[in-house]
Amino acid sequence: MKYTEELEKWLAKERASDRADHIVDLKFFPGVDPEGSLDKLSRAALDTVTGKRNATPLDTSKL
Amino acid sequence: MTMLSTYSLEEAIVVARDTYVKISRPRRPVPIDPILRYAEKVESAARGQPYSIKTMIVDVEKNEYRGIFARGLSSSTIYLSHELNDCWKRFVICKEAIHLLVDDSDLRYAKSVRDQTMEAFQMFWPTQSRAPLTSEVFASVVAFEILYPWESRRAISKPPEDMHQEAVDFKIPEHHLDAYFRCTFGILSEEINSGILVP
Repeated sequence: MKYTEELEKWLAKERASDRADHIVDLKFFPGVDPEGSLDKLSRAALDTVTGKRNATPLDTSKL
Repeated sequence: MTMLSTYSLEEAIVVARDTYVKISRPRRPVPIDPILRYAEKVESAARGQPYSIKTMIVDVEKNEYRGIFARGLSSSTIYLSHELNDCWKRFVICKEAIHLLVDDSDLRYAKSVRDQTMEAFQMFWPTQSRAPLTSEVFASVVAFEILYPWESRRAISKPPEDMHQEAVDFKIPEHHLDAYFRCTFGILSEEINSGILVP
């Protein structure tokens, strides 16, 4: 299964969940590589929103 | 906040001016936190329950993405690439907060993931004031107009001699500043902004 399909499937499952804070919409702002493939971005998105990527909170008051 | 049926450059600039007035002007650079808190306040009022926005830095592979906006019913999360400098972080956060402010329903723009992504890849600066924009371009224009506000721009008669310093002063991506002064977008933006009578 392509990552695009996997991401859509996961997103549909999120929307259908009964959790109050489930994800209903995803938007991407792509990187600087214009040749970057869709599946590469989909994979990154899926890994990010499912918590497979290392993520740390950002203190926006310092920006 | 204005809920939009169509997206155009004119509408983007009106939304930017409206939002800018409601946050802490006239500081330079425009702070990001008030924009996030304003978006939370509007969303909380619309939903009748507390709403929060989290911002996370993510380890991404080179150039994978700049930002991802995961919108939920009681909270949203903005994921930013660790590769971004502070100017780009500010821009992407502001842009994603704008999505929350102007998209009028949870699923309205939830086209297929493929369509959303291809929209984002087609990012460009608009060349007509009334031409329809994709939501990605619309949010980008609003973010730029807030972070490089007309209030500060109106006295500028020509491009700054030191574009890099101007970008540093306002903490906005130099690439966008350059595009503003070199592309049709800048001309249209000036025309529209100078014709708007609100603050």
